[in-house]
Amino acid sequence: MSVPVTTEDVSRLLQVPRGRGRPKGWWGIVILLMNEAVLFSLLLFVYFYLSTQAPSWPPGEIEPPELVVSGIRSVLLWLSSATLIWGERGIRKGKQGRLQLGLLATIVLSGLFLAGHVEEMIRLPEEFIWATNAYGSAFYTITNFHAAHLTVGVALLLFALLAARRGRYTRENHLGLATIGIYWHFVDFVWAVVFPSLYLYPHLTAP
Amino acid sequence: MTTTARITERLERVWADAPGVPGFFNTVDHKRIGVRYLVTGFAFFLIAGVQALLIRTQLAVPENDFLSAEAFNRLFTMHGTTMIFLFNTPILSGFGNYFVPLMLGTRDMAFPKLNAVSYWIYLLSGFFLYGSFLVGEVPNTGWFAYAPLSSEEIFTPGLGLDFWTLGVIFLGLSTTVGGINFIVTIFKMRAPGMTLSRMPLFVWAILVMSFLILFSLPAVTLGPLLMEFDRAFGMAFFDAARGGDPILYQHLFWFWGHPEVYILFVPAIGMLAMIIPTFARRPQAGYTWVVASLVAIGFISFGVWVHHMFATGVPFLAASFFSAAGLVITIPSAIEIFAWLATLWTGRIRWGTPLLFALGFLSIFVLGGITGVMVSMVPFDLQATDSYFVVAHLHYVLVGGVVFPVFGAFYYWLPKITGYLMDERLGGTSFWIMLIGFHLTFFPMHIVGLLGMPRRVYTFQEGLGWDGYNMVQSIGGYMFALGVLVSVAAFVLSLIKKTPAGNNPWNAGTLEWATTSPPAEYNFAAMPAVTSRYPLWSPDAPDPTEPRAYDVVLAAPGEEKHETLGTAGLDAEVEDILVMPHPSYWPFLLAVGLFIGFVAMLLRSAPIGVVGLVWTVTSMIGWHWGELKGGDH
Repeated sequence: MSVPVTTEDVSRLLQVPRGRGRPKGWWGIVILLMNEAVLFSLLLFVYFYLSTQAPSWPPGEIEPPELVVSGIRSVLLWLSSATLIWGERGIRKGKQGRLQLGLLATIVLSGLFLAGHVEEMIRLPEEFIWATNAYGSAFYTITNFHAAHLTVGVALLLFALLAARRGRYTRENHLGLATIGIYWHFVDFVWAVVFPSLYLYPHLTAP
Repeated sequence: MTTTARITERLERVWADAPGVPGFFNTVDHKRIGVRYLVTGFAFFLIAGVQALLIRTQLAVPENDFLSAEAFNRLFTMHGTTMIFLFNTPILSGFGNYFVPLMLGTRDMAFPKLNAVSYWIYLLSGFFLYGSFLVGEVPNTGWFAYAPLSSEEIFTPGLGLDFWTLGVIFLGLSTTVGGINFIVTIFKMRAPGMTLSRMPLFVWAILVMSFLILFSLPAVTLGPLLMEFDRAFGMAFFDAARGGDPILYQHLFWFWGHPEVYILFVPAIGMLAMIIPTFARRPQAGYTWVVASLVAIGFISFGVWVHHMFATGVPFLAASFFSAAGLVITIPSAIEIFAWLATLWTGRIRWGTPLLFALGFLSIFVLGGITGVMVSMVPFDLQATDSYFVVAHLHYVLVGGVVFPVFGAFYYWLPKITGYLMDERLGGTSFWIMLIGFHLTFFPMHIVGLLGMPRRVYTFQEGLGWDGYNMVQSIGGYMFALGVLVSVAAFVLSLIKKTPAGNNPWNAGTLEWATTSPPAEYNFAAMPAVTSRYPLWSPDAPDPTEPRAYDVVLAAPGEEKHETLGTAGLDAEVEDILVMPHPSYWPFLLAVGLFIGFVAMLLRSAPIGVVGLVWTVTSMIGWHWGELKGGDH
């Protein structure tokens, strides 16, 4: 590698490898998500810390969160990770239509999840708001923080769908899509931790 | 034309920044960005230094009325906030930005545009925090802004604390992005042959610092964010009456706050581990031990945060655990110290100002470490907490552990940045004035602290036995400032006298000295390859100016792009040719959009918020427009 060469030394030029290893953009997003994971962990630390300070959890007259609607929309969200993987596998075989269908399904499923979130944000304030007590503060902050991440994810998916319709992704080159995919699976995984903590745990601690 | 001349001519054309104003706003060159970090950080150091002098002037004599109690509170709050957030961390990022790519033998950071945005956010968050002086509502509850004093608008009305919480969150974006950038650069862009075990120790230190930032900084984003929610929306996170807990804020703050000490100290270790071997004229003794200690410090630093909270009534068992962790962390710190002593002992010492500052560090930091062991003992801490003893301890750690190494680093690396040598006599003078001034200022604080003087009081009564000590401290403070000014004079003089430094004035062994002073925009005409830890010291090392196969490929005819080598994470085998971005205005515009957004949150104004949001989103789309259009990315 350290042997000097001249322009004419063609056989040596061919030894410079190209395109091996993960691209730096991929590493960048993975490390950013490690940072985000810490942020969500700390939010859940706040939630559980506050729950240990309270005589009952949820405190006072507040009912534990309902499980049927929130359970169904959680399943829809996790399904959206599956549809995205299905679409990504498609482009690896060069199937443009399957990619677009997968992206569209992912966007629709997450739209349904977010609609459920909006419904909750309209329904819950009749019972308690973010200023009622620390439980309310934590509940509204964490759910909206996650929803904000999802909204960013949906915007990225729309961007990907637009790019896919322009034929930007090919069998060989779909790095941008892979990066958005990692983000999306991460946000879905976070919900797999947030949902048991915020929706199931209060049923265990309620009197 | 020879291959070398052809490559150089082409590199100059491809990598040159636009001259004048456009180049100022759109540059993505890590060296220009690094210099900006250094200049801005040093300006904040001077500002916070003036604040410290005002504080010392007020405390020089008992019952002084030079400052009002309110002005005093504002000054000590902004002094601490500026020193920690706007001077210490950014100045280390500045050295990292400038020198990590040079030490790795590459041409830029992994994400040059993100690098530019980090700097602009840092600068604008500094403006944001200091905007509080313009409107006359300055943060005044200490640099840690404890709840509930800071979180309830009845206790702290006005915008002062909102400036603090939002400013800290805003700056955190810059630090986080910077950390990610360092990690990817270090893992993916080392010179061919630079395995992890051949990496310069400063780069190791920046790597550990970046991981510390990654895992601790979210806490200092979250604490102030929840505090702002309490203030702005009446949330109850830190309000005990509604089931919140003020101690929760302290947990979040110190979960970042203690690793932060090491975020500052670890790069300082890295600087010394470059300076000391150069002046001892031998490789660092115990390289592996030094690296292992850096990594160990990184891990243990997450297990000590509660020792800032012994006096808050944490359970006894928890206090014991954190006390023990606080003692354990002295072991890797001591390994570093002994590794340097061994390097100096077995080397052939050549004297120079950088080495003086390094030795100044050793003497001060050992004292700070000893008082650190004292305050990590729960019973002692309960006596010393909130007294001047703690002020003495933290300044021995931070001034000894960061300011002295940073000054050493200035004397060591400024010749590379400016291309001119600094005056050794002025450097030595500055060092001795700073060292004596430092001890005069901070050593007596141990004593007045043990005599019972509390910290954060704007004045004190006569005849408590504190008068003489406080006068000495104030004189020492002015002396320290004089020492700093002598260094500034030495720097200005070097720009006037223009004594050329040459490529390698100290005869050092690492790659940043292989290129010209100052380095060309593209850093290296031929991409260096290394076979040892100190490539410039190995007699059999390949000539770094001789082009190799990949240099010819990088300079092949065709589209002219910013290109550098990508190498594998562990063994640094050549893996790819990386195409780097060209200069761009989007980083600056994105930072401005975020700034508008934070102003909107400060003023709680929806219209300004919409402007900020639209501006930010537009900048992000503009940034990525090429990808959507189908251009190369």
